[in-house]
Amino acid sequence: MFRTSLRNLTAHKLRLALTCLTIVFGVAFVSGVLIFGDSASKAMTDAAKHDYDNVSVSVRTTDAARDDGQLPPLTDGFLAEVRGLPGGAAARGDVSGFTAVVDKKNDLVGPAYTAAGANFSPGPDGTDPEYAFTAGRGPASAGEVAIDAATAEKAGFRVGDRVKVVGDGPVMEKTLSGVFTTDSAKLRTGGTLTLFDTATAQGLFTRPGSFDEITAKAAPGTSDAALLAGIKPLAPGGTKTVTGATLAADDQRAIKSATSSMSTGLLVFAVIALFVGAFVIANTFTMLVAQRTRETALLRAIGATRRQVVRSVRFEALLLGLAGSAAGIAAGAGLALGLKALLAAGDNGLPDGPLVVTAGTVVWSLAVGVGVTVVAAWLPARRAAKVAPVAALRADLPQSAASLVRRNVAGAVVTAAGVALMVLVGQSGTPMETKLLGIVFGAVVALAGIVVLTPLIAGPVIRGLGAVFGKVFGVEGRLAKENALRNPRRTASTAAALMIGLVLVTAMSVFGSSLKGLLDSVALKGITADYTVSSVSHRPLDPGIAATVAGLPDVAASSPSRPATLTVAGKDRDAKALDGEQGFKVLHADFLAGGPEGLRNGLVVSERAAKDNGWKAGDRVPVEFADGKTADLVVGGVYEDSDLLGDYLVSTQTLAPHVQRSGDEMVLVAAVPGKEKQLRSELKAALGDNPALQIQTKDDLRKEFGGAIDQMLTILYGLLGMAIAIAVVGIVNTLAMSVFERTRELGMLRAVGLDRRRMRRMIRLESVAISVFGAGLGIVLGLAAGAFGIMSARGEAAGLEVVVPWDRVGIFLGLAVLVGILAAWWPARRAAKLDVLDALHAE
Amino acid sequence: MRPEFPAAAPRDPGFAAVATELSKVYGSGDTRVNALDRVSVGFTRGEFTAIMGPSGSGKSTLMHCMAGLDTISSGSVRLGGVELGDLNDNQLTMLRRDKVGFVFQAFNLLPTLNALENITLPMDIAGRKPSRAWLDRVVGIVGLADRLDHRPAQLSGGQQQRVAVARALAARPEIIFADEPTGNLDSRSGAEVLGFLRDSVREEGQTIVMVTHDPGAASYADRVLFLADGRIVDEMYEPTADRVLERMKRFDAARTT
Ligand SMILES: Nc1ncnc2c1ncn2[C@@H]1O[C@H](COP(=O)(O)OP(=O)(O)O)[C@@H](O)[C@H]1O
Ligand SMILES: [Mg+2]
Repeated sequence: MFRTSLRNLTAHKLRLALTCLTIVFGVAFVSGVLIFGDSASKAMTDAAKHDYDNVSVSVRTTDAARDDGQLPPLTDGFLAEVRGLPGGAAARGDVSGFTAVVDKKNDLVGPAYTAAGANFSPGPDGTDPEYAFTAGRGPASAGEVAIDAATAEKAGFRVGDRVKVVGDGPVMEKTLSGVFTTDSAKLRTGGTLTLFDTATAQGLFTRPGSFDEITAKAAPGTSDAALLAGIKPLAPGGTKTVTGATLAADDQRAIKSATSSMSTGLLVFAVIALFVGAFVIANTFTMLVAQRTRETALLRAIGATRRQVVRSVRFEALLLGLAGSAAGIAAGAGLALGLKALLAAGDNGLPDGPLVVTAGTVVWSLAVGVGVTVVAAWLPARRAAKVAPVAALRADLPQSAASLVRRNVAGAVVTAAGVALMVLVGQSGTPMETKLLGIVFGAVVALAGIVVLTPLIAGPVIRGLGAVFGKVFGVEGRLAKENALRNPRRTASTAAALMIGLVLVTAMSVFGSSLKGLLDSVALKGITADYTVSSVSHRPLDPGIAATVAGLPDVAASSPSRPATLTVAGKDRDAKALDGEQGFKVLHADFLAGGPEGLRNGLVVSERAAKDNGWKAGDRVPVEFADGKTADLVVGGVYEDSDLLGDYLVSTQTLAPHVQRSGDEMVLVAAVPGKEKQLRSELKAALGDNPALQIQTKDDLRKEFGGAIDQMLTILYGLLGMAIAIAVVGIVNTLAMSVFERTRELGMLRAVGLDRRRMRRMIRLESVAISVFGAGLGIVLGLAAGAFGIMSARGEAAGLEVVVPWDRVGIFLGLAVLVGILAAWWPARRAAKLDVLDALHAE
Repeated sequence: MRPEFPAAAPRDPGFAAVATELSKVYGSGDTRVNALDRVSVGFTRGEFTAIMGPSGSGKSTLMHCMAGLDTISSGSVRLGGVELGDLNDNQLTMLRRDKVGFVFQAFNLLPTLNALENITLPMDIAGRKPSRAWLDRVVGIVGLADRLDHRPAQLSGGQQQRVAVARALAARPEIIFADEPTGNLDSRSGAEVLGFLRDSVREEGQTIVMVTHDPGAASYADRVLFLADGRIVDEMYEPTADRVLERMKRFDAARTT
């Protein structure tokens, strides 16, 4: 019997190749993700291996202390103490933050988010072991900087040139004292690094005499642990003291967990692709088994048992799965290589390293590929066993007319159960996380039910489409419709594969457009300022900027938006500080009680916060600030919940005494009426034409946010592309099968006068009917799922409304037509090329 | 827009189709077969011709070549005044669509269409509206009036072949080619189908060429052509089953000796 499996496999080479291709695609995705993840993880951990070779002990400000706007308590004095410890060979203090180099065209060199600045920290010999200078020397005074070699080359700077450097504040112009290379992690992501002398760096990033981190190297003969024990008692509060080895281990762990969560995220899409692939494989085996009915009957007639028949089909699936998976692993390695090359080209600086193909990757990929194939072929194999031996002797094979009734009932029940679950969970008061999980689970169940129901749905939909085709294209349109309807199960499962991809793509698009709508209707509505000033790196702005802006002649009102943390009734709350006088001239709040004047000396809160704390306007309430001091503030106003404003607002004047280092999220500016245009250039000039700062109108903000959502969607579309590609292979497969099965009919049509062009069109229309049905159903379900998801999330974000992205829906439908035409290309060609007489005499 | 065929020559007004020195060679070298060897024959309008001959004598080949289904190796075939050798594939397709009807041994109906739709298929392809009266007449001739909305799977073999005959007749082609149309039918259904073919010739002046093995079937024709080894070796007017059988026996004798 195994010999028949092999024979069967080689008998239909093309079909085999197509089916194999679906396995290859799915497995390539899985193995590609695993290989890329392992390779990236190895490259990054390797590169980070020596980061702490010169660090025995590190003292850093804790994250909590940094977030509270407190200055690092690591002072020169502390550094001196560490230096004075017995057993410490060398100690250094580091400060770092955001600075970027401006090129000769006044643009930032490289992306802002990978640009950094740090202090040059020379030892007694005048060199800093972290940096190797290829030209010049380290910066020795406030007027000098050094930049990394790659940046210097990109921007065309030489030692001695005047270089513009920007940070969170005004533009600085310095003399380039040197160009260096380094192994430092600060440069690993392919960004730019600027070195300042320590005092200047402290001025920029902390405060004179204060560091972010102090590291010490143990002298020979002293263990790291001993040094740690020596330093720890000296370390000030708000800091954490650990050994370099601990930091290295933490980093390695962080890298591994980051790459593995990236892999997990991508694997979700690989699983979707495989799931879709399972449909195509199941479809192929169903077709193969049906086609071989007579052959199978003959085998049964001459004594093969049912078991043997079933086993031979499953063995065929096993072989196919193995071949496809092996090819898929190879393709996956290629995919990973391509991805690395792509990232390298995109300046995203993944460190170089070999491709890592672990045994786990190979085993998993094989298991998944073979598993999916064998499971997909499970039912078709059982169907093969049902073939009666007598079928071999009968000329006219009865069409498999198994009723769809049971299937439809089952489908309806499952769909209803899924929808019921979604509705129940959606309306329940469970927290968002569990709610979301429940809804997704319900949606998956409902989708499974719909998949079962597709043959039922296919009838009316394709008849409707066919009516249009018939009107527009005449006979071939009508014939195409009839052909698509001939085997509803096959049409349905071919279309279902495409449907799954489209459901996801459409639902995501609904989320995207609804979020954009939310931004428009809620967030942007609350901004009454004409301009916002923020950092392109989205880092906090120097408070000096708010002060500069406030002093401009054409500014009617301005206020920084400054993040803060307040402790209310023992709970840390995110708050914002606005200018006490002008905050509500650039932002809008709908006050339910009190008013904007309440901000000056008091606290203004959202309705939600008032309810949470049981406050009313006019109450005097105790609030603890980040520095630990408590003040009694009057609740000066309560406003309608707003995502833009958050829940707690205080004035910058109230906050100021409690923070040492403040940074603004943005500065909002309203122009004197009629001076809106001038204000922009005025702002630009006042900010020193700093390319690290952006001056945006509401429209610019809308575009930026919308662009980010679109980019996200594009990535998701790309990830779902594999599932869709597999579905397209499925359509090609089904059509090729149809053409093959109907050879004689096609011959007859050619004989009675259908020319090749119209023959091709007939096949194409059949294909389009399938693809549009699948995509259309997917779009409808995706819209429903997306709308349902948004409505369930409405409680989380006031003003969230369902926005249907009609333009995208139109594009998807257009693409579905295109996909149909493309999928039919080869089968239609084959049909048109048939020799009339050969076709007429085909079995 | 329908491209014009090369202008019809008025040379053979009495013939629906004419073959002159028609040869057809399959394969080359060792496997070379002379399926047709310089055959010259004309099919008069309004005549029912049967083609007989031993298996492999070239009957089907002759029919295919004359119907524009197969290319010819040498000689000429004119159909409705058009020289087939001058036509490309598209023009041949359109010629078949507009001037030729087919009845196949294996019925060859589209299972997805009902009887009426199968009958009007060639006209639908051509984008022509069948005349209602003519259609009723054809349907009446083949006796399918109460079966028009049935699909082929719901019809008996005889009924299916009657649909196929109606399909060939409905478009009023210049000529109908039928390749063993009764080969898959029992004798009664076969006789019915042959009766319809003959009636359409007698009453509507249709031209029909039919390949058959069955002397009884041949007796419905006006004329019988006998083919052997790719050549026309005999012809017989007003055939009867017995005479045809006699003639056929001579082929068998020739073969056994
Ligand atoms: N496509 C083909 N290729 C090669 N030889 C063919 C082909 N079709 C027919 N022949 C040969 O041509 C001869 C005539 O065949 P055919 O016209 O089918 O005979 P008939 O219909 O009289 O039985 C036979 O010898 C047959 O083998
Ligand atoms: Mg023959």
